[in-house]
Parts: sequence; structure tokens; C-alpha cells
Amino acid sequence: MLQYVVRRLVYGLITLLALSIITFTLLQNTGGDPLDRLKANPRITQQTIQEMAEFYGLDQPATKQYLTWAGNFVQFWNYPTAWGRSFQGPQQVQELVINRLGGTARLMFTALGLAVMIGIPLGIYQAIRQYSFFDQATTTFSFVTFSTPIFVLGIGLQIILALKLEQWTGVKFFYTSGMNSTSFSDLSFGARIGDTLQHLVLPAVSIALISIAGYSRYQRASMLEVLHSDYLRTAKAKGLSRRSVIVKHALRNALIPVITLVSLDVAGVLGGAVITESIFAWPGMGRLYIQAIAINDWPIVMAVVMLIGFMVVVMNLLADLAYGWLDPRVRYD
Amino acid sequence: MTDRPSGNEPPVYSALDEAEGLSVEPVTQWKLFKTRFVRHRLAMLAAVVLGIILLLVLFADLLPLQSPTEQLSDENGRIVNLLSPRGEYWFGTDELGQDVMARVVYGGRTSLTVAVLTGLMVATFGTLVGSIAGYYGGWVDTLLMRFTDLILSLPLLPVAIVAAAWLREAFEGREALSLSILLGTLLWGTLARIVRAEFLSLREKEFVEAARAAGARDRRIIFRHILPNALSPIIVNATLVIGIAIILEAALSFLGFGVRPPEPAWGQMAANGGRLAVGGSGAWWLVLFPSFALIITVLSVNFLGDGLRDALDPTQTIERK
Amino acid sequence: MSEPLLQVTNLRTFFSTEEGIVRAVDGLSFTIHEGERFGVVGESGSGKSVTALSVMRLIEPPAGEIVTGEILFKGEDLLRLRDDDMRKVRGGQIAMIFQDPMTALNPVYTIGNQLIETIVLHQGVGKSEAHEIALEALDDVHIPNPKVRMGDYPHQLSGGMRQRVMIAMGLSCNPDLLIADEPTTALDVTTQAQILDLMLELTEERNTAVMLITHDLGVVAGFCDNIQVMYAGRLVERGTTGFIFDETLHPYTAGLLGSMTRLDEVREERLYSIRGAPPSLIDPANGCRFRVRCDFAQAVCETDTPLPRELGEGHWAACHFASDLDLVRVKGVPVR
Repeated sequence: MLQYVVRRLVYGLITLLALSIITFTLLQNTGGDPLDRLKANPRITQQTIQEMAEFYGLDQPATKQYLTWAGNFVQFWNYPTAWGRSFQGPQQVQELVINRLGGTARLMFTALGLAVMIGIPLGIYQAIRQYSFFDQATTTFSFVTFSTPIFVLGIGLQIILALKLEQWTGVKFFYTSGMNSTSFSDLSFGARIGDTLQHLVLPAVSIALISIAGYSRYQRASMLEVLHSDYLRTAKAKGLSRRSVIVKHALRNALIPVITLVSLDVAGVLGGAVITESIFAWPGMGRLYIQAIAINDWPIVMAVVMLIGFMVVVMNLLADLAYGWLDPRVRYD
Repeated sequence: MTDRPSGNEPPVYSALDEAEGLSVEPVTQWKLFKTRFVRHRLAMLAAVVLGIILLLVLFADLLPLQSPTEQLSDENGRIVNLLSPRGEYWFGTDELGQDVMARVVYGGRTSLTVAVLTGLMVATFGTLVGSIAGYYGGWVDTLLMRFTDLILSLPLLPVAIVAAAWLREAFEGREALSLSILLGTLLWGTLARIVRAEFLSLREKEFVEAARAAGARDRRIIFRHILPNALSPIIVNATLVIGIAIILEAALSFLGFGVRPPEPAWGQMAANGGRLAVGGSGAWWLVLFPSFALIITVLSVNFLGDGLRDALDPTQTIERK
Repeated sequence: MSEPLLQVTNLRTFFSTEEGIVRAVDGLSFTIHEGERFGVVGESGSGKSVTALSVMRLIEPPAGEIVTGEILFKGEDLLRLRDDDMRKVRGGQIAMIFQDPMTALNPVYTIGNQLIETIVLHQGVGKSEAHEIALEALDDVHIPNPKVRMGDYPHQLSGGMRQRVMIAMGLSCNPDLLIADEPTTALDVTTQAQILDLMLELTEERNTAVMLITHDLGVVAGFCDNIQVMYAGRLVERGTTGFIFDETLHPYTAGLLGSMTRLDEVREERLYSIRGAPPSLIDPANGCRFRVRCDFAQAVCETDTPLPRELGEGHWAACHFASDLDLVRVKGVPVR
């Protein structure tokens, strides 16, 4: 078992390595001289520019630059200078990204939480009431949602639930930009929670809807398979109560495959966050990422990509372990 | 073991044969009927819709449409920007005076071209990798699958964005093709896995042994004998990949890394429209029509894929019961 | 003769499908007595499994429904019982074991867990006592090292062992009737014999009645007191094992026997097989359902449905010509 974990960690490392090389190579060949922007900014001193050029080894060939960057990057405990400075201004990349990480994390976990809490029970219920009106209606809705690009959902929600709703009722239900209102610090505790939620709902729901569609569909199929299984028939033949049959015998088997799905979805949720943050002007890593790519501020891009990659690797590993723990048929060899 | 006779009453077939009143609800039977019937119909409808979209897009030049990039003006020479839908401009005009309907149709060209090319690439490359890995097994399999797993473990959108940014510079002007290659490179992994699984099970079947005994070489066995049997999951998956590709391309265009203006693309139009619509000018038609086009297209592709799966994949018994 | 343990009258179980209503069991009646070993034999689709599931009331609406009939168990009509009461009967008084032990046991729980579950439910004892009873049950089915095996998962046991566990589970609450649906079909021949011997030993010991469902006449020959042959949802022939094998009345039964291989026979010709295929059970035609495949069919077989008639003591057959045919097996082929 330990051997398995070690092996997976090694694979994870290789993945991250490959990710960094691919991204770095792509970025190197894009855009012009990264320092141009800095040189054009009157507030950056010549000395800072010089320091940065040295730090990144900008006069050296690409491979060397990569190694320099990688060497600095892995020593992340050298906060805040380990990841260098941004090419947009003198901020330290590590500081910038970590600050924004909070915003993305909030969005991501809310969306995942919503998706799991709604999507999975939905799938279960659809299976139990197969072919009922509820089942058919919600399945269709899921299907449509799944076929809708996330930015359409985001903009649509913005227009309908924020703009139009406010127009019709005169009350501002949801905000369409930012994490908090500017007057946040002046608000009382209760009002702060309300304000946070009002900002959080639309972007989180945009992301969650697509995951809900996926989870419920998968869970429904899994549950149906279990409901028609032989061992469920045995359970009924033993005279067990309906509750016991479903909760004890069916659910455990039905939930196992969905765990894998949820962990694989983390990558998708992060991708969704990247887009959603742009739409809702959310102060997260995703938005930072897009802005940085547009002007080839590669230290930031590298940092964000590595963080995302790291999160995905960890989640995958956790999912595998959880699967092995839940399903006794799985053996690690 | 003792011989004990058993007895019973004779059944009354005749009486019951006459009875019409079966207590099995006709409603029940109807429900089962209706669901499968409707789904079949939906798949066919989806195919028809897709066909129409394809025709519109392929023959856009022949249709009585405005140019998608021309800034139109009225009799007085004023640019007719931000007009809501009306008789002359069914989908309205955007902030540059371009006809939205024309842009939607031509934008469809890009989206569908990219999507179909991606689908073909994924099908080809994924099948190649999967079949070789599944057929030969051993270290070939391990090597290929590690590679596939690596590609699959890369976070999709972030990498796609970086790659798209690079492609835009490197291949300016040939965006559709380069996007297809990009998406094709990122998406073949799942299909490769599926094909490999199929090959792993199919290669054990007797017809393979028979072919080998008849002297067939490996390549022949793979392509002439095993592959035709593995075709249905390939078709189903490729169809679904096309749907994913449309959404991805739209997302990339939305973020500004896909097709650049003035060339139209659905995602790009939605981005533009979103900014304007939410920003207060209320030009809802700028968002609605490209979004609608996206949804309808992807929905049809997904329905079709679903229908194909039902029709082609006999091992899926879940929804049948 | 005591009161029958199980008395089924006019059972009709139908299923709604896209193509129509399948009349899986269409007017079946039979009786099982205490301690009796009753075999139900037939091809796939003959309705034998559906009969068992109907007795257990495991037919799932909305697709399937017991349309009419009476199932008296110890005098009470099971079809009229409330759900709660029926659940007490299931597993406690009538136990059922199934064909494929690989899929019939829940893969994510230990066999100990699944055994204890039944015992706690039906015998009203606490977990630790149930644990002891479970160990005894495993011992009864001759599973070595029961203490260790209790913590095993189904996939860790062989097919034969799994079926023993199923039997242990079935008999753990001392039911009056054990229904076994093709319990040996998924096992190899040697294990088959072992399992049958085990079932014989245990049910005789406890005087448990057994309803053994199978398509294999060889299985019932050594095990059952009475045999019921079914075809297309109806009764074809019923009688003691001796009657069925040596004084066959129905052409179908004779065909089945003829297609059986026997070690003690010298065979010079091809094995007999009944021509044709089982009929569709949707909108079945009038008359005898076997006539299309029957070597002795006449015009009347098409117009009149043959009802089961008692032609010997406890020997029933549903054929217009049952008493006229002298079905002797000569080289495996039924001959007039």
C-alpha cells in the first residue's frame, strides 16, 4: 500500500514536471521581450529591472532559464521572493498568487460543495423514481445545462438573476462583480455574511450547475445498476426493510464510482473558475492568470499553472486512496 | 427419499382467458414506451437539426446574408450599430454595425470546422494509440498508457489557454486549423483508453486466433478484424468529443485566445455581447443569438451521441430495465 | 397427510414490456408439503424463476405484477399480507438462494456482516449472539476456519464456498421452506454434487421443505421427491420422481429426458433434441403451447387448451393424449 502511494506521488511529480516544461516552452515562444513592459513603466527603477533580469537569467538560453526558474520555484519556503517578481510591476509573484488563491479557493470549494450536495442526491433520487416526471424533467434540464458553455451560464445568470431581477423588483439580490462590496469593512457581521453570499452565489452556481449535471447523470446510472443487481435482490429476499436495502446495501456500492468522478472534476472546476472569474471580476487566481497570459507575464502564469497542477495531482491521489478504502475488491499491487 | 404424491386444483384457464380486465396499468406500459420513444425521436431530431446547421454553415456564401465583417450603414451613411432585431436585421447589429445573423452563421463555420477536425484527430490518434497498446500489451502498453495518463492529468483549460496564446502568434491567420490540432492533442486520451479496453477484451476472442492461424499479420488483424468490432464506442466517443470541442473553442474565443475579430466566432461574440449587455447598454441580442447557437449545436451533438450509444452499444443495459 | 405448507392456486404473473405484456406465469397451481423436496424443471423462459419470485413477492412493479392467484403459506395468503408482515416471512420463514453466488452477495461487506444481518433481523438477538449463531451456520455448511472466514469479503472466496455461505444465510433462521433457484448452475460439476449433498443433509436434518428450481433433470433426479415440469408459463407434468422418469406422460417431459445424457446407456445415434424454440409469451395463441414442437400434435391441440388432469396418484399431465401415448425411451427417442 505504501509502495502504491509512493509510486503515485512519483507519477504526480513527473506530471508536474511535464506540465512546467510544456508551459514554460510555450510561454518562451510567445510575446516579445518580457522586460519591455517594465522598461516602459516610469515607476520601475532601472535597478529593479536589472535585478529581475539577473534573477530570471533572461540573457541565457531557454533551457537555462527554465532550470533557474525551477530551482527558485521549488524553494517555496523562501517567501516571498522564491517565485520572482511580476513583469507588470514590482510585486512579488508569490505574494500576489497566494493572495488570489484565497479567492479561487472560496469559489472552488463552494461550487464543489454545492455540486456534491445537490448532484449526488439528485442522481440517487432520479434512479429510485426512474421514468417519473421528476426524473425526466431533471434529466432533461441536466442535459441542457451540460451542453451549455459555462460562460453562457455565467452571463445568463448575470443578466437574468442580477440585472433583470433588480430591474423588475428594485431589490439588488445578487452582485455581479467582485468578492465583496467596497463598503465591506463598514458592515456589521451579519451584513458581511449577507454581502459575501450575495457576491458568491452567482459565480459559484455557474460552475456548480455543470458539475451537478455530470454528477447526477453518473450517479443515476450507478444507482440504477446497483438497484438491479443480484445482491440487492438477495437483500430483499432476506426480508430487510426498504430503508436498509437502499441505505445499507445500495448506496455504498452506488457512491463508490462517483468519488472518482468528483476528484477528476476538480480540474474542470478550476477551469470553470478561470472563466467565471473573468466574467464576474472575481479576485482569484484565474483572473490573474488570464491577465498575465495576455501580456506574457510568465512568472505569474507558471506559478498559477503549477498551483493548479498540484491541486489536481493531490485530489487525484486522495480519490484513489478513498476508492481503495471504500471498495474492498481493490488491491494495490 | 419417500414418494409422496402432491395435489392441487385444476386451473381455470378458460374463464381467465376471457377476462379482459388485467390490473396491470396501461399507464405503466405507456411510460416505458414513451421514454424510449421520445429519446429515439430526440436523437433523430438532433440529427436533423445538426444537418440543417451543417448545410447553413457550409453554404453560407450562397445564402442571402450580409457580409459578417462589413460595417453596414443606412441611407444617410450612418453606421447602423446596436440595432435591436427588426425586419431588416433579424438578429440586430453589433456595436460596429455588423449584421449579427451573418456573424452567427459564419461564426458557426469556424466552430464546426474546429469541432469536426478535432473529432477526426481524436478518433484517429486515439484509436491508433489505444489499439496498439491494447493489442500488443506488455511494455508497449505500459509505455503508451503512461504517456496517455500524463496527457490526461494535465489541467485542461489552463494548458489550452497557454497553448492557444502561443498558437495565435505562431499561426496567425490559420486559427481554425491550429485550434483543431491543439484540442485534438489534448482530448485524445479518453478515447485511447476506451479503445485499449476494447482491444484487450477482443484480442482474446477466437476469431483473432483463427485469423492468426490463417497467417494474417498483426496489422491486418488489428485493422481488418478487431477494429470493426470496436467501432461503436469510437463513434460514440468521437461524437461526444465534438461537443466538448465546440465548448472549448467557444471558451477560448470567449477569453480572447481563439479566433480574433473581425472574424466572427460564437464565443468571441458572446464575450463581446456580455460586456455590452451587462455593462448597461442592454443589447441582449448580442449575447442571445450566439449563445443560443452554441447551446442548440452542442445539445444536438450530445443528443445524437446519446442516441448513437443507445443504438450501437448493446452492452449498456442500465437504462433498458 | 398434514396441511400443505405452501399452496399456490391459479398464479398469473405478467410483465409489461415495450413489445407487449409477457405472460410469464399463466395459471399455475401446485402444493408443497412440510419437509417435501419439490423440483421445478423447465427451459429458460418457462416461468420457473418467476414462480419462485412470485411466492416471495419479489416481483417489482411497475414492470411486473402478480395479476391474480392465491399463495397460501401455512394457511395465510401471502398476496394479502401487508408489506411489513411479508418482510418477516421473507428470510425468516421462506428463504431463497440464487444462482450466481458471485453476484448475489454484496461485494463491499464481509460475509460475516451479511450473515449477522439476517440473523439479527429474524431471530431478534443481539450482535454478539448472532455472531455465534453465524459461526455455527458456517460450520454446518462445512466451511473450514469459520472464525477467519467471517471477516472475508465475497471476492476472497471460491464459487463453491460462496454458495455455501448463501445456503448458510438461507438456513440460518430455520425457515420452513427453502427456495433454491438454480443453485448449482454456476458451479462446476464436482462442486455441484457437493452442494447438492450438503443441501440434502441440512434440509433433511431440519425437515425443511425445498423448492429446487433447475433446468437440469440430473439435478432433481437425486434430490427431489416430486417434480413439476413447466413450459411457457404453464404446468406440463407433475408427479413423483419415479413417475416422471419411468412413467412419463407428457411429450415435452419425454423430450427432456431423451435429450439427457446418461452414463448407463449405450448410445448409437445422435442425442435427441426437441425441435423448434420456446414460444413468445406475449399474446400466446390458444391451445397447447407446446404443439408446435410436439411430435404428436393433432388438430385438437391447436383449438383446445389442455388442462392438467390427474392420471395417476398425484401424477398430473396437461396433454390431450397423455394417457394414450406410451412414451418409452428407446435409444433416447420418445416413441409411440
